[in-house]
Amino acid sequence: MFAQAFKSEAYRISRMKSTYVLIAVLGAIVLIVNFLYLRVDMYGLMGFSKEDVEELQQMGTAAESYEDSFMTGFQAGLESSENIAEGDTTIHVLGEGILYEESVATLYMMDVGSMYELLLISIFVGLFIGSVYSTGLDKNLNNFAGRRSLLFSVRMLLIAIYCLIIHIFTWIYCLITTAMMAKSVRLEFDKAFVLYFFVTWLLCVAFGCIVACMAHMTRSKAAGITLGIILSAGLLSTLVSVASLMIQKRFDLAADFNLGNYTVTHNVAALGLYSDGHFTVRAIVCALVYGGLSYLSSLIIVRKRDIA
Amino acid sequence: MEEYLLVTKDLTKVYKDITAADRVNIHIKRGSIYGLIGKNGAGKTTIMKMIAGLAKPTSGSFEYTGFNCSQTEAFSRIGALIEAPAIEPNLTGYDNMRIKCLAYGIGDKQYINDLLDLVGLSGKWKKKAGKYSLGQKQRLGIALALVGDPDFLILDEPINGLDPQGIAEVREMLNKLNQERKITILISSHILEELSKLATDYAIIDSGRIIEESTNKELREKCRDKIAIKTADVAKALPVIDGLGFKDYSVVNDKTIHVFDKLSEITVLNMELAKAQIPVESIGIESSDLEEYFLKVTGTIPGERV
Repeated sequence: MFAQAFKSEAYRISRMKSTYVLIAVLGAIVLIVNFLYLRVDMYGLMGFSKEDVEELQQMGTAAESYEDSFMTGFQAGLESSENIAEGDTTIHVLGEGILYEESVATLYMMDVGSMYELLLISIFVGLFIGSVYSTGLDKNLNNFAGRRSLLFSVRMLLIAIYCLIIHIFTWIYCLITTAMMAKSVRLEFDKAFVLYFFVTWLLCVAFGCIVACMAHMTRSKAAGITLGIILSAGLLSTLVSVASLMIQKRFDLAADFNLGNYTVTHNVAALGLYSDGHFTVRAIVCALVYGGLSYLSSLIIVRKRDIA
Repeated sequence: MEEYLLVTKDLTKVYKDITAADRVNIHIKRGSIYGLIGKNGAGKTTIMKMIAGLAKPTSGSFEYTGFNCSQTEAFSRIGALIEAPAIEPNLTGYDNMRIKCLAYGIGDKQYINDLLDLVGLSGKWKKKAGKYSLGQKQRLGIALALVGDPDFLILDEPINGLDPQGIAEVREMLNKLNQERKITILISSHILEELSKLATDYAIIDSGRIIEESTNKELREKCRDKIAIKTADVAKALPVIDGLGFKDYSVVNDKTIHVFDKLSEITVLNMELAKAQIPVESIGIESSDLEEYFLKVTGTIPGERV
């Protein structure tokens, strides 16, 4: 039965246009974002020459403390600005971007941290789960009438697989853009990268489960997608900050307590290739807790609710 | 003893304050075409949903006695078209069929083409289902219900949106499925005339309750032509009717008698009743079709509840 449900739902996904459109959109976004990282000369845009930047870096390194470094850099910046005002420096748009010399792995980390993968995943999940309700698809599947948990689990598995596909495509697009625009192609396919890839994939799956749960609860494509957009765009960050402060005061927690550290989106954005073990474990726990809770909530809804 | 495929026992479904199905007891014989008759909102769809496994009963139970297997297994042997056909509009008719076929472990593409041919959708399989006419969607819904070669078909208003030719085709198809493949069918329709051409058994439902369950033969008996006499004194009228040799008659209530034989002797009967000084409010030949009978039974014609 599992294999039958898997084949049927996989076929449905394969016939959904959005499956391919979202991967194409991902490619376009990665291309644009990586162009900014690799070929737009950010310093040149501000009127700094390569020599200015090197000078700034040297001054910063020579400074004894963080404060000195800041002040020295600030002073140098002022001087450079005066030069711009005098018209000595020309503005360069194209050139070496801030990640021009970095590896594919670093570029990939920056792309994943930008969270547009989550945005696309939420659209996919919203459409995939929402169409079950908008078309009444489950009415056709009488053979699963007594096995709804199985059908639901297959759908969640397919969401996890699609998240993996999105994740892999992001890397492929990063590889292509690096080959096209970076100084050289360095994969850095090491242990740290594999761990980063796995943990961020887990976080993406957890995010997909949250969106799926919303779509199940509301029986609506739009509600799931909207929640996904709100979360991935960080529109709830202010709310989370206020809640953090309240919890901090109420339970007399340490001043650096931040509820945001325990959200899926924050972990996707903050996790780095070489984050220490504490951050990685926290991200894995967050993924498992949010994913697990969403999965169980949806399962209860699916089992209890009549098929409309 | 007749073999039942499905028996329900006090099947009840309550949605918040509304009792959609109230202690429903129906008995569907294997190989029959069972017509469920009721007004909009009477509870037909709710009953169908419960026995198709789409909705959980609030109380009561049902058993697929004819299948000799668990309820979960029994659901696999049911094909259902309940309310609007469950169709993904952005996919072709073929894709919609393939999704269900794969879920039933059927990989044969010819199987899909054969089913689409059967419902008259051959040549339309490449067209997106969203662009189908109402009738074509209904046909696709029937084709979807037939995937997996079910032993029991549940069809909720399957001829909705079909043109007269389409209705005749579907009727013919359902008869064929019933006769040749021995598929038991539970069907509801507002077009009672059509239902009467198909069904072998009926249940009349009103406000969630089964008012009457009868065979086609019994129902035809109730609907046949008769002399209807309305009189204030039924007791005095009966010896007169007996005296004239009428044998097939029944007392419907304390004011009404139905006489089913010797309809041509209505004038003689009227005269004899008058001679015996029996006050007759009305006397006349009545014939009712299934629709009229349904309206009477459900009390839609005021004062006419049988």
